Amino acid sequence: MPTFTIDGKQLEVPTGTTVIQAALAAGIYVPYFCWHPDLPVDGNCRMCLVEIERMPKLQIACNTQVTDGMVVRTNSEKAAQARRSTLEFLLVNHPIDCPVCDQAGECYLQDQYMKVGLHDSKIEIEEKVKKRKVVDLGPIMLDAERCVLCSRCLRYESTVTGTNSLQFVNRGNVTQIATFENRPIEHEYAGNLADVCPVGALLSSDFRFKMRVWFLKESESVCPGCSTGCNIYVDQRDDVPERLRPRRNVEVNKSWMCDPGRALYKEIAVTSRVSGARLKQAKGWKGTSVAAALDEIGSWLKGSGNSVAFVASPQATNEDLFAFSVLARSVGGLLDFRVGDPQLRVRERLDQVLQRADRNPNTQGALDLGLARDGVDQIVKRCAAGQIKALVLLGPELLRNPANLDALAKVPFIAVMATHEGPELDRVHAILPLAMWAEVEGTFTNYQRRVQRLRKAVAAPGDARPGWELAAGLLQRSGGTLAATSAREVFARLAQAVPDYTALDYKLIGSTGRALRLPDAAAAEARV
Amino acid sequence: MASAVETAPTPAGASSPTLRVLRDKLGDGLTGVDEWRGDLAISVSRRAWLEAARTLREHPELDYKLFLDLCGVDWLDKDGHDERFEVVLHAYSVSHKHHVRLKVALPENDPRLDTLSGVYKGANWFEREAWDLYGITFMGHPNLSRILTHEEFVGHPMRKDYETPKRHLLKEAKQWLLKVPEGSEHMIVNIGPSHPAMHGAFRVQVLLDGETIQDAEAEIGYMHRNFEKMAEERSYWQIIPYTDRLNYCSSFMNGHGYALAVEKLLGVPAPPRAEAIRVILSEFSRIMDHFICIGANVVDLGAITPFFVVFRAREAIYDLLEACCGARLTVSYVRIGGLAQDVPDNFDALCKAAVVSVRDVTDQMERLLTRNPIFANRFREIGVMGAEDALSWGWAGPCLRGSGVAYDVRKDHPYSGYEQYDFDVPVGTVGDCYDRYLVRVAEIHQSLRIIEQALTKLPKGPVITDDKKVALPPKSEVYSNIEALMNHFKLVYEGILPPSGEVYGYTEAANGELGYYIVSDGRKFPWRMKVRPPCFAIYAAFSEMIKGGMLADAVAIIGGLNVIAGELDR
Repeated sequence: MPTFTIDGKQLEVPTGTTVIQAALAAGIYVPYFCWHPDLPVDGNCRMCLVEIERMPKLQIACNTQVTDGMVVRTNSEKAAQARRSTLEFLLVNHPIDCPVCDQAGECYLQDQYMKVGLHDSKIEIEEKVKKRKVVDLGPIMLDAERCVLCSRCLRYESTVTGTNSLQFVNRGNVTQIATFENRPIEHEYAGNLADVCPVGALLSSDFRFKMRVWFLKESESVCPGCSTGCNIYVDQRDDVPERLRPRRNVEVNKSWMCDPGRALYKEIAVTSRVSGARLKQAKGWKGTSVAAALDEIGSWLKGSGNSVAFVASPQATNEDLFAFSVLARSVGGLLDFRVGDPQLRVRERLDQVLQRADRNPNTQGALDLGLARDGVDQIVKRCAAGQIKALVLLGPELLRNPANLDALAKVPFIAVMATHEGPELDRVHAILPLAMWAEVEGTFTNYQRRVQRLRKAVAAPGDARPGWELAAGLLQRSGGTLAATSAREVFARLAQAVPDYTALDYKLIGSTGRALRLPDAAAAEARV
Repeated sequence: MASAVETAPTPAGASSPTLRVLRDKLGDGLTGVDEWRGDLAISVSRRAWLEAARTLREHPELDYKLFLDLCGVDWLDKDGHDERFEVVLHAYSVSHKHHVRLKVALPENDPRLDTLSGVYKGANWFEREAWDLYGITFMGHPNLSRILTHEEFVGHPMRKDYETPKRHLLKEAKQWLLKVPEGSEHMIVNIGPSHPAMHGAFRVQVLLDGETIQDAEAEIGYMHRNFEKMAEERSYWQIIPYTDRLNYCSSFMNGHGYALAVEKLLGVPAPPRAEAIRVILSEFSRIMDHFICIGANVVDLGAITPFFVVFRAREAIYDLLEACCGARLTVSYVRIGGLAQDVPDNFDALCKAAVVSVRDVTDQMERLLTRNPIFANRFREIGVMGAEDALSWGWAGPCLRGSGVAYDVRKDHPYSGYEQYDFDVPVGTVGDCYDRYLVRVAEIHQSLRIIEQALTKLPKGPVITDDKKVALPPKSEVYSNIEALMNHFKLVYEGILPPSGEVYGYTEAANGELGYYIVSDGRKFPWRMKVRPPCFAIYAAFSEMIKGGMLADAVAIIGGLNVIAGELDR
């Protein structure tokens, strides 16, 4: 454990720590382009130069390991001058593009000009070297003029996806990045290229020209696309999500996420959302208030005695599932969630990067909460036998399987909490509007049994509300109570009731989650 | 910001008698001291608050007689602040020419504090405001009720966890501000909120015995838009247009004061040419403001001619402002670190024409009014305010000087180069309406003197600082090189990022000391921005002043106080 001094601060760091890691951890600003916490060090941009005592030349902080007794100055006049010159060189051929560049607002060049540059220009427009612009690489748009040749994208392609699509071509002033014959990037992790690019050279085709980033507000969340549970930011403006971005979590997704996951924001602010409750009547659907729909469902539950069944969904948050299971236990009747047996694939990899075969974010949570109880097959069988008088669904998955239709047709009353309209909703008798993952506070438990928080990023449409609130409404109408008025309180109840979750609360889960112990066999399976 | 007294290597403000006296008096009650950008800030414990304020005011060595401002600050979830709330007092010692800031931290679950309304008369309304906006309870306060928001408002809007877009509808306005004594035949009369003699939308309810006012109570807040909350969600230069809407009769001066306060926070001065232009336009704005005050005041008394006379000169000044920046009323001409652009080539000629016009109409106005017995009889011995009381109410500007206190920020704490100009500070002797009128007229002449000197000395050079972290680069650069373009982008979307800290910037606006107390946490938006609105303190005294007088005198008094609702209600 070497001890060293940086800007007058004495720090002790683990052996092998680089100066830039130590500085950033201590909250000391060191500018950089090519260094990235989840990529190998390359040391080519020369932006992180610092002065180290007894070393005659300035050193790059990203590739210098801390040694005992080292004295580092990040902000000496010499280092500041060197950085300013480095930045000036990087800008020599940079086009005057900010007004038409999506990176503006999250551009390392802009940030560092204000922090370490502030120099005047010495270059005329005519002197700049022209390169290729607007090269369509499928999910990515390449602008070679804006590139600072940091090679982050090259290293990403070689070490994370192993696809090596991008390379440097030519030399000197005319060096640029390119794919072979301008072929598009075809793997499912292309979006990360736009994120690793510190400037506007690689931009997301999907997000391009949609929104100026300084209008966006970010919320921490978790991707609902599969059981991996990548940490993300939901970027929204005026309650419309504009994009999803990975949020660094070394234990789960590092700095990455997959492209199918990135696209999930498109399902949120759409017109096909269920925004109000409705009940089926002789003449067709009739819109009602949520309270009236809950009353109707509640009276069916009351009148059906034990002949009721509850089917939840691993798409729901732990809070929703917990409230739903409390409801099921309070009313009596059958309960399960395993439509299509997601529990069998929860730890199965789909590829060697992030994605998993179980396309639900919270199968593990449903298992932990004991929702795997009576078996979906059993419930369907009982429906077919006419033994179920009322069926309550948290999510419409059960309705989507054609094999179940005959059985479900025999149930006199089906209520579903749904987020989106679809033909399957015609088979039910009451629809409750359900808020989506980006519209609620809650938690998911991923394949590692890591409990992670979602935060409300946007408002739910119309009357839509979290599943736990709807379940609590039904619970109240059947004589029970959840004793919670917020997701935080539901989680507190959950923590009291579910072993292993006992020690957890929202504050402890924090922004990067808390991992619970996995059974040994599952742990071996989950090992990366 | 506050550091423990004992541990500070070189105790801030060590040489200050204020600190010495307070330390002797309060002992442990003094919990911290900080001196930054020339502002002395002293933190005390809740127990010592009243004692500290009383010592500040009454100790002969300190003599902080002039009450300036009292406000709340919410430090919700802020590192380095154990307690959520803070109450901040600003006071001034006219004899020692020194400002002081006194702070006390209050816990979230029990934000209670002793009232200072027994020490400073002006504290009454300011504490009501702190209660209204922050929910801080002042124990022993005679009338702790809502003042800027209305009776049916829910919550305290300046709290950081109050959602900005939340609105509350007032369904039933408060009909009675006063209680009619049982069995009394006295009459209650509302003056305002919409009344020709009230200069803006505010209301006074009076209890009349014949034409004598027995009791009076003021109600304000009709034009409250919570400028200070808006400022917490705007970057430093986005706030400039809002300052125009404070005292809109002299909007340039508000921006001038605001820019100086932010420049003090940043430690970035404006170049001399910008300062000189600011002085010229501020003095013209002061003249306009005085014209409006006097003109409207005499209209209330039935003399309509002087109003049209003085407005001729006001047009000349508006033309000048329009030539400089394109706008007439709400000019938004200042920038942090200077001015939006240089003045036009004919600036000198326009100024001189305006000076001639002002001089001409001032002469006419004086001939019409000063020795006019009808006018003088309505003004003399009416609304008398003694010097001691005026200071305690927190009066400043022409009203305070009318009461004989020669405090003028331009003279005592020169800014923008006022020290280079030769001018006098006129004062009154009696403190009545007539004195306030005379002071304003005399100040118009002094302003003309300043303008003429500034015009002859007007330096050449840039009109905005060259600090790239503060001023936008010239457009010609922005469109032709990437460095300036990035500079422009960053400044526009990220704003100016000041250091963490707090300053109280103050200038002599038309109504008196206009202060901006800015608390920065280093982000693009101010954490807290409090305006010390001079006419808020002045109007607070109004209902006390008119008690026992005639109803018609109340009308004469209010015009001479020059209460501007935009500044009063913010």
